[in-house]
Amino acid sequence: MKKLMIIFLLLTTACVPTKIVDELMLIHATGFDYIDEKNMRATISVPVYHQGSGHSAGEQSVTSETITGVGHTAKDIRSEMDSKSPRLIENSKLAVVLFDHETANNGIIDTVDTFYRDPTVGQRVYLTVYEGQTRELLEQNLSLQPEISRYLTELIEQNIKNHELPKSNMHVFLYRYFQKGMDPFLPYLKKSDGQVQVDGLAIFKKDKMCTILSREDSFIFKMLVESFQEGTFEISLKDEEYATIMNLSTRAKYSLQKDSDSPKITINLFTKGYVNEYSGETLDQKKLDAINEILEEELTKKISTMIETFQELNVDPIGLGFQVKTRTRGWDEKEWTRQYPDVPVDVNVTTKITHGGVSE
Amino acid sequence: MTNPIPERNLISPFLVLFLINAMQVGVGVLGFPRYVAIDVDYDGWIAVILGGFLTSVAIWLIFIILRRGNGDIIEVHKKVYGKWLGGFLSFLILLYLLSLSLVVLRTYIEVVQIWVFAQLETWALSLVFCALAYYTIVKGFRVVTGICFISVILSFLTYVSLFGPLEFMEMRNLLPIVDHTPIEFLKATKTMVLSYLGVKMLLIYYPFIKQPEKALKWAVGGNVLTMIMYLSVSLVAFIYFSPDQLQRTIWPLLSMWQIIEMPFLERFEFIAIPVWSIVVLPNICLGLWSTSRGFRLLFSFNQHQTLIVLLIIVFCLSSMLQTRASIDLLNTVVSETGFYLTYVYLPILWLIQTIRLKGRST
Amino acid sequence: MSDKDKITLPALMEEFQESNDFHLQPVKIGGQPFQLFYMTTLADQSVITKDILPSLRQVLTPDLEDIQRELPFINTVITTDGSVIEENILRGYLGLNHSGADECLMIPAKEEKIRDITVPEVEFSVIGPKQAFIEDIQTNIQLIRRRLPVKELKMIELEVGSLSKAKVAIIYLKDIANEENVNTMKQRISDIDFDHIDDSSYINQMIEDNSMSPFPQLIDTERPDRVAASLSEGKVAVLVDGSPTAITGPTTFIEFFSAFDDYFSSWHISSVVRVIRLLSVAFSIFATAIYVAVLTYHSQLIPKDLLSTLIQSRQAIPFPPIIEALFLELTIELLREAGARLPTKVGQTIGIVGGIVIGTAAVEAGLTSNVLLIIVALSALASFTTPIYRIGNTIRVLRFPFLIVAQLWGLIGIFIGIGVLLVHLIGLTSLGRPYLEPIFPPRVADFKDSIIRLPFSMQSTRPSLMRTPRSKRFKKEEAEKKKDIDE
Repeated sequence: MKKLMIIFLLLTTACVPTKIVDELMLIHATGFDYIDEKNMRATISVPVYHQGSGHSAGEQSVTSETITGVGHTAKDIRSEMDSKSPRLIENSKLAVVLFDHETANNGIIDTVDTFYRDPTVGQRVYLTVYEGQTRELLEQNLSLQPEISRYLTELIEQNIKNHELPKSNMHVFLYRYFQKGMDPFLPYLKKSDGQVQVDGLAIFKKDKMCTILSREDSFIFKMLVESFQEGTFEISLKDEEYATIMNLSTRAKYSLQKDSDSPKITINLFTKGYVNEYSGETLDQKKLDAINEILEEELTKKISTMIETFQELNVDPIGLGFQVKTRTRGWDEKEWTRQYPDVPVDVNVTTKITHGGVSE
Repeated sequence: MTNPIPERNLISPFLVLFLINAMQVGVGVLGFPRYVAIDVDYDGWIAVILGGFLTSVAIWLIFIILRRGNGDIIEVHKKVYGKWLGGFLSFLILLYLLSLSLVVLRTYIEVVQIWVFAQLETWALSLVFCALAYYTIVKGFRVVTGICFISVILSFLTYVSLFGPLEFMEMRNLLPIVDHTPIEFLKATKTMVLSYLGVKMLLIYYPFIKQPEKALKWAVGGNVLTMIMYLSVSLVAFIYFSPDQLQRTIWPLLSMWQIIEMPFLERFEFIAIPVWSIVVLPNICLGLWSTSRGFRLLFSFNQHQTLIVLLIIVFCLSSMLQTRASIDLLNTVVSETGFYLTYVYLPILWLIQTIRLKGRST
Repeated sequence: MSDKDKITLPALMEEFQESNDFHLQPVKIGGQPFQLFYMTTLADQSVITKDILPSLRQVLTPDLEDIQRELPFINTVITTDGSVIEENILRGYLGLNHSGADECLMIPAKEEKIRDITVPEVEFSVIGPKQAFIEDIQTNIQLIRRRLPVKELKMIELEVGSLSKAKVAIIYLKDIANEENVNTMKQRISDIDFDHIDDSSYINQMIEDNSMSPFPQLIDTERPDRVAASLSEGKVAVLVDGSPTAITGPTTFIEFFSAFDDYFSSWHISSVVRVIRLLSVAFSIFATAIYVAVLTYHSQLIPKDLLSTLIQSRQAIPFPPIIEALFLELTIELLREAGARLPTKVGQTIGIVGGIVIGTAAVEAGLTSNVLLIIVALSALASFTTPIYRIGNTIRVLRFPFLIVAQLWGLIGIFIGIGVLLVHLIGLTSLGRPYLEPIFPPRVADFKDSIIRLPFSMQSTRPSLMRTPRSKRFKKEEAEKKKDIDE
């Protein structure tokens, strides 16, 4: 009997508190809004499952609710939220973290670091910047997908896969933040007509947002930072004609010339695709060649302008510094930071338009 | 030898591959890329190869010493130094082997506490592991070898898991190759050698190998297998993390597992950490087995009773270490000892043994 | 025993007469008074009236040896030993002696009441032989001998049980089975000290290497073809009189999951089936435990899309997952047990009632979630895929400890449980041979007939587990010269 008691006692003290999935408040999205220099407001979005409609599959019965808290550290906010929540709040299903414009401008690394340290949070969490108040966004029930975090995740996922967003998540952000000669970026969202829209990229200098790229620019930016297969790009030709190039596959190659003490960078961009939409009359080989030429010109111009802008702002989201670093023995970071705004960058774009679609 | 080991307890030479490999791959593989990168950044993989090579040399040396002594280290010590000094040195080595078990156990518990169950009491998990180790060891060396084998097979999961992080790889991270001074490489190699230290159990289980002459190639093979695993883990870690990010990541392999997402499983590390409980089990068992076996030979204790005493010691010590700092300190002390034991003491022992043998033959 | 030696015939008679089915009949042979005695319940009456009495009448000399010569029976014995007489009478022999004399002639007249050889029920196979062992050891040995008509087939007979006096036969192929295995088996069976042996499963449990283990370490089968195949692999078989199952060993863990059908269908198919069977066993043990672990502790693991399904199915349920799981698992066990105890027809009804009515009602009433119901039903189904009945029971019972550790420590608990299980399995032996072979100790050659089954042309050697003196099953033909296309 005594032995049994001891075993029972051991068992009870060796137990870990249970976290039964339906008894938790699983945060799906968190938004941070700037209040003043010391305080911020966090809004969490938790899903609410509606009973009774479970029998017919496919029927949407998940909506989301929000809880907000104000404080100057994440800990503060959390304890305030806990006091407002009927169930234990858990970070484990966090999928999206939103920062409002102001917070992004003031630096986000402390917040991101909290998430990075928390082993319950995955590395695939999407960090994004939202133009307005994140609280308003999270409180909304959008018609397309009533559960807001799911909506946002799918939106970003889809845009990374098929459109202008380069790969982005917490790991990528931190990778770029900690990488020498590279600056991070995050997707930039805005609201238009009751929908949320990806509106380009927020470019960060270290952890502070310094500029925003438009959607078109972010596609060009994507060409420079990763190779991909399925892009779509629209160019306008003269005479108010335009053409859409489909299945655009791109690959950027960087090379470095070190003549004297100052390095010179050349970017060779290879793209390949076919014309899918053309507003003009006929699309023959001659026309294709013309489109090809215009495309090359336009891309070269746009890339050069973009890099110039970056150099003026002294940010390096493309990672030119990283390219130089990996090609130089004994690379000196300080020296490079000094050189960067004036480093000459050559851009060569080679495009190849394979055909003009299925009809002649 | 007092009483020869019965035939049915001997193991075939090729199983030494698993004994060596299982002992090297444990909790170390979860965290080592960070330590190599401290000295030579992303040239660390060269240090991994150098470390593997050095360890192979150490294995070869151990085999020479033991073959000459025709028995385990206790036998060799007795022959070389006589009963008292030899016994004392054997005792120190046994203490070291025991501490290896302790380090692995405590570090694994720390991983569990940080990643899975923050509120799990150290003593509880330690107790369960000690009980499991007891259950394994009383069944004899054959079963300990068996669990080593299973552990090696399970640790191959690492290779599969490494395909996940490749989605976010940046090969240029490795460039420029060899951008450090030889001194830095030496330092990194020393750090890396610490991750290969498990081979010293060989000093005790050597007589359990059927035809030990044939086991050398398998032992080196096991070491090479470890090297391949370390190499792939470190290479993937280097192309996945940026250098400063890696320095802030305590367990790079675990953090890399965080990115893996499967349709039926969203977070891989929550499966992999439990799997690792079986991967680290042989480390705990082999250390305890070797020590209890050693004490039996040294003091003619009953191995069963010694084992229980040792388990209680390991249990108490592991429950007493509570902070990250103390665990780190223990790690450092044990691995430094191991380093000097392997690369300073063993060559000396070899020299003395040679001199003694020469002296006897002339 | 010395007292028993002194049993005299009159004392024996007296004791026998206490039982009413003992019959003593005086007969006259050659003018002398003789008496015939037997148990009416054991001896065949028609043999006595039709064969024995008429032939006795023809005997002229009142001498037991003459009588023995005249009788159309073999296996007759003349003895004065009281214990032999006792034993034989109780086996259905007739005793015949000159009234008052000690010497006694024993005539076999046992009434054979055995059922016909039927189709195997536990190890049914769609194709292949349809014979199963019956309760009679003679018939069973005959079934085996017919499949292995070689003189190397040897048999050792032993008697076990102080009350049951069960006849036990150890069968093996000389030069193919390892003598060591035969001796171990013999030693263990003769060491059995138990009063009553009813079935081979008694013996099976008593001669296992580790009787504390929930895993059976010897295969019990009702198929003579399986026994014959095992014997030709170098295994040793044990038959027990009165038991329709044979025991074969040494065996491995994996062998418990290979049905004999696997040899009847093509090797690709049986390999796939075997893998599926092993996976289903793993599913059966771990599925519910993983469900409990993940829902109780590891919400991180659940994919986003699955999360809402799981939560919605659980929302109305007032119990934690462990209670829910235990409730369902016990229900399934209850159904199985009820089904096994009831007559076949009623059993089927119970299955339907239980499966459909209780399952649906439990979900509707909000006692269990439908996701768990699916998991539990599937894992119950999976546990029935094991071809050997005993291991199926082991697997079903193993689920419960895993459920408990899952509740305690989630996945960590489950994997520590797996660790214990692995250590246990590695440590197990079957007749002193490693149980987990060919996985540990790793023997690549033995994989040819374990998790997968390779074609017969590649099965040229016997499993190395058996340590057989003759490891070649057949001479492998010289590798055919590589033919080019259309040659």
